[in-house]
Amino acid sequence: MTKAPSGTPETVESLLPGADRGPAPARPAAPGDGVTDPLALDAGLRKIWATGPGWQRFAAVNHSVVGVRFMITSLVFFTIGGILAMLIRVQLATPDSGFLEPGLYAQVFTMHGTVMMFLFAIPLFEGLAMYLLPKMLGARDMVFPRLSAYGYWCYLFGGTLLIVAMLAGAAPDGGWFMYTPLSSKPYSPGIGADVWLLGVTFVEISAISAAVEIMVTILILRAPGMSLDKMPVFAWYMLTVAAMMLVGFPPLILGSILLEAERAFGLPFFDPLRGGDPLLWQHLFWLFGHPEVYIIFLPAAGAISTLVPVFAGRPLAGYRAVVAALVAMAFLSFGLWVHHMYTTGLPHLSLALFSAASTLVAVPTAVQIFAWIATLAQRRRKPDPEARPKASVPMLHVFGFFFVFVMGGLTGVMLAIVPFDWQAHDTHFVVAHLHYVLIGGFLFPMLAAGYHWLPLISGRAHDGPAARLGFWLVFAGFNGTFFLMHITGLMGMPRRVHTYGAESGWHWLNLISSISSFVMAIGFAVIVIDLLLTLRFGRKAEPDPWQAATLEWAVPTLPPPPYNFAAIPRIDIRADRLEPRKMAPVMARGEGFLGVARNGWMETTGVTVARGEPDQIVMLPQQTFLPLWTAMATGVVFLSLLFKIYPLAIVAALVVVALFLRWPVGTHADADRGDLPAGEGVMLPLSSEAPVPPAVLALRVVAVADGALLASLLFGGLFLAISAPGWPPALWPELPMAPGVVAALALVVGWIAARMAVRGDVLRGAPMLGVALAANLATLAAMGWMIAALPPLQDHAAQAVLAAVMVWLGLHAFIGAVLAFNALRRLRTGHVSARRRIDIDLLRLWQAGLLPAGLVVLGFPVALKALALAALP
Amino acid sequence: MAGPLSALDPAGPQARAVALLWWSMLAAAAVLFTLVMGLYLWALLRPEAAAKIPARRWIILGGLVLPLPILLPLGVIALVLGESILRTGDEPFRVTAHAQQWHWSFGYPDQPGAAETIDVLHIPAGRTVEVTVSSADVIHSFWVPRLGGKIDAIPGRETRILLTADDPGGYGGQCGEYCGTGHSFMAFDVIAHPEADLAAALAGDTAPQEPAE
Amino acid sequence: MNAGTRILVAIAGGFTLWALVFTVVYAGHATGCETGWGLTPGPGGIAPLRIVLVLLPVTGFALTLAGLWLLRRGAGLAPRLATTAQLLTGAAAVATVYNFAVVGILPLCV
Repeated sequence: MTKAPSGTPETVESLLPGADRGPAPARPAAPGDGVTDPLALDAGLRKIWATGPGWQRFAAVNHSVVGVRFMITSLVFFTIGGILAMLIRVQLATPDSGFLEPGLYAQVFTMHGTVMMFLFAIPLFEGLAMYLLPKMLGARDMVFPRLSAYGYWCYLFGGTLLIVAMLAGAAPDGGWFMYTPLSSKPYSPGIGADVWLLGVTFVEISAISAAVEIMVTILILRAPGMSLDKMPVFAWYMLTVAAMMLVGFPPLILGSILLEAERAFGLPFFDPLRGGDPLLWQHLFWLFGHPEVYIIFLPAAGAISTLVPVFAGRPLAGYRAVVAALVAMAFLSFGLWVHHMYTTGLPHLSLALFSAASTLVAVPTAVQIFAWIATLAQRRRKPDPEARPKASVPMLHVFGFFFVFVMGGLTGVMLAIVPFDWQAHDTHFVVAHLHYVLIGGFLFPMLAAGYHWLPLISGRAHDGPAARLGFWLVFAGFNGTFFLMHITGLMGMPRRVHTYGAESGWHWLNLISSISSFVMAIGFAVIVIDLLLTLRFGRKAEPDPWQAATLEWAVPTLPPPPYNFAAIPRIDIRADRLEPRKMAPVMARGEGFLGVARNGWMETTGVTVARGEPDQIVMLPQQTFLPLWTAMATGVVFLSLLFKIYPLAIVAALVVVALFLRWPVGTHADADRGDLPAGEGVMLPLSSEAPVPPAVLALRVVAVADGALLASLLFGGLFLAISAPGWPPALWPELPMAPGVVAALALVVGWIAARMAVRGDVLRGAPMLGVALAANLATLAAMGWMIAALPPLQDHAAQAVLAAVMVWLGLHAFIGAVLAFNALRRLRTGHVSARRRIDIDLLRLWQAGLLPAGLVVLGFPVALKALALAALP
Repeated sequence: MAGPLSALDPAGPQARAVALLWWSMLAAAAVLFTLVMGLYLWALLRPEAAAKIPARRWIILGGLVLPLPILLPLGVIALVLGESILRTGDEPFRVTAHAQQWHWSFGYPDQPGAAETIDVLHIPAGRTVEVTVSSADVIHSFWVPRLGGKIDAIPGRETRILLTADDPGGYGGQCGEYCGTGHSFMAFDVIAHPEADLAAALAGDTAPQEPAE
Repeated sequence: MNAGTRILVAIAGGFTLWALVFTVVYAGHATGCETGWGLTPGPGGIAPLRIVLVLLPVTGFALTLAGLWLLRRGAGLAPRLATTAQLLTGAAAVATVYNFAVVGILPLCV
């Protein structure tokens, strides 16, 4: 047990059950031969999976490490956002206050909203999901650990950029939803708005990569046997949330790109004098912004759906109804965005469509609420003889969630009613509502989750009256702060005013709100101090302290080792009815799948999406600095865009591409290995040789997000054509035919070449890949030609929109060229064969998507012109 | 609940309809909130009794039977109310409101010869007023809470809203959408006159006023 | 159709139809109002635009019901997924009626 097997010759045969071999003392033994030593296995696996000390920490890719980093960083940002909130409340405590001048106040409320939404809420649940999902699903890590790390660095750098800008006095100041034209160049000439657009987009990269990763992980990185319908309900929640992020975030990313293009280069997407429309921004922003609220709420609801059954000692009531409710919620949440725009003068019929969807969303919410109540009602009346520990502190926060969230939901229905919103819109009533929903629907559940999983994450047991005191202070302070704001708002106080006169009658309400907000802040301080003391001095937690029934508690030690499970179990029943206390020692002995440490490989099982049958061994990448370097290069791109050093931005972007091309190195795809033993008598291929490797699934998932972006762009263009003032332009931007024909042909050729590069067992690699590379470059050149043929883009939104879609196609052709180049290179280095064809399959998939999308883009100018000419003046 | 900008102190039919809607929704919400929290606490504290209801029934009763009969009539009321606020039977008195960082200028197409007024809007009492709202720069929002809801002033567009003041008097108005550092002070006054006195009032208010900060 | 795709279609199909109808109704309505297409009342005094706007959700509703019928025996899904899919498809049908009833009622473009 002193020597780990990493670096020794391949020991795959050690997994063959009943293989004719003597027990080799130098390596952990295989399941079933009776000499398994959990300690040796643990040492061997730790050596492979653990993050190194010192500088090696920056190379961490492990999901537990990165997940905790996400959570801690988000709490730091929460503290910053909270301090900003305190400044707001000090300013508003008394009438005619001179504490903050209006410009500074605007930066403070803008940053408060931005920090809480983008730097606190989203990263916190991403971190929690990243930390928990592999453990709940029976995997040893997320499916793309380096993407986790890259996402974390992007988040850290983007968030730091925003905070540094604030400290330098150059924070954005147009409100967290950055309405144009206030955020356009003439009315926000400073760098603040650019900081917002670039910083938030930087952080969004992290969110999109997390969404891709969460989705692929849930779909294929589960314990064998865990079919979709056996997954713990938290996985269903996160699967839904990931899908929503993939569709919901691209509109904001697009909006940010367009607005930055307007601010930096004068492309008039939002300028009503040149064919733009400020309402386009509102549509794009809220098409993101409303699903966003549910993207934040659903992970928290997933935590509630996990905690309440533990407290009740029985599985969640109405699993099917809850899954149906959350999927319904995900869809409905995309049909609500215009309820932020009731006062923009749209026809009543349009408003009514969104009003109906907005009220309808109350139904799936109610289904979940009553499923939780039913679970509580049906709880096991007599706890185990071992006496279930009283789950009081998490349940206290669940109570806080119920109380606050139900109220926020009810005011939400009120605001969905069009005539009422005409009065309440943009007042403190809305401020009250949104805090009830977000603090009730996110913060209290997350605190409950924090206390619940604290023993898992930290290995420390938590008990103490301080936590209860903290809860009651936060709860009382919160209601004192925000309940009264409903009334303040209805008495006419608009949001975002920096001061008010004494004659308004809002004085006492505001003063009580401000005092209560300090009570809430003290409550948070109590909670934080109590947690820090627990982490430092708390007693050691016993295994599975809550007698939970999900897999994350079956880890061998608390906190879990970096490899999570010494062997991966087979799950044949619902994964929220397991007995972790019984499973843990069995798994620790290496009984199950992949219960060995071999070759220094980081292995976990991959399964088929629906039935959860094992179909591959997913080989995870080692610890590496690559994500850090790539994120730094990405940061240089954003900084050079911010400071308008565009040549540097292009160089840095190319460095990012080059670094990404280094990522596949070291994934052991250098030879056909055939099926390998995976334990339990099963032989599986490595994912590099599997029919649907994770990377291919990931590209399909990315295609969804990319399609959402293109759809937003095309709809945005058509929206301008019919709705914006100043259309059609005096001189319609006609496009030359020739480059269009070239591009169309090149798209078809690229598609055929990629298909022919590998057929069945025949590898025609190099020539076909070369053709695909050339075809993509031809498309790219054709797009450049077309853009060059347009009249000055600054003159009218028509040509700006056309240029934007051409840039989209050109960029995607460029990525296609990079993929073709990558496949060629990997072919040359011997990483591609008829069996190991990921690199070619990625290209094939890319070209297959690019062909229809590209033809739509090429036909778009015709549709745009037709609509523009038809629109009434 | 009174105050110069209080939507809870309505002074015209449009604002009154919304205030009535608010009080009804508040009453319904209070009942629902008490009911849901009561059931939650019941299930938490008296599970022996609450467990007699099967889980399925909890979900169907609470998730479907409870919300749908409330949402449906609420939706219908909202539509009817919205239509009644958006339309008027009689010929409205037309005014224009033009927003600019950070003041309002009002025009009177129905009162030929009347000059623009700054930050004061004169209207006839007891008659529906149609305000056509526009903006010179960023998005603002025209809002007189005691007379009705708000409508955004969007550059490049014209939006409209109907308001009525039952009685002569002064009513506070305020920009509702954040429009820059002067937002808090972008207030205006609406003065409703007996219809006979309106022309005289407008004639007396021709002197250009200093815009508020 | 592999098992994963089958599950995706069964679970998300109903509401995807709802979302499609939503998009087309909202965009079609805006386009009609901004271009004047279909606003002139046709036979029976009903504007063609309104007929289109009513037919879209009716079609969506019919297709959703058809989906529900296809799911009646579970469509080969695991039982719990089958129930979930049925619940969702039924909910999508109800949502379609509830959500789009207004296109037959309110004035078109004001």
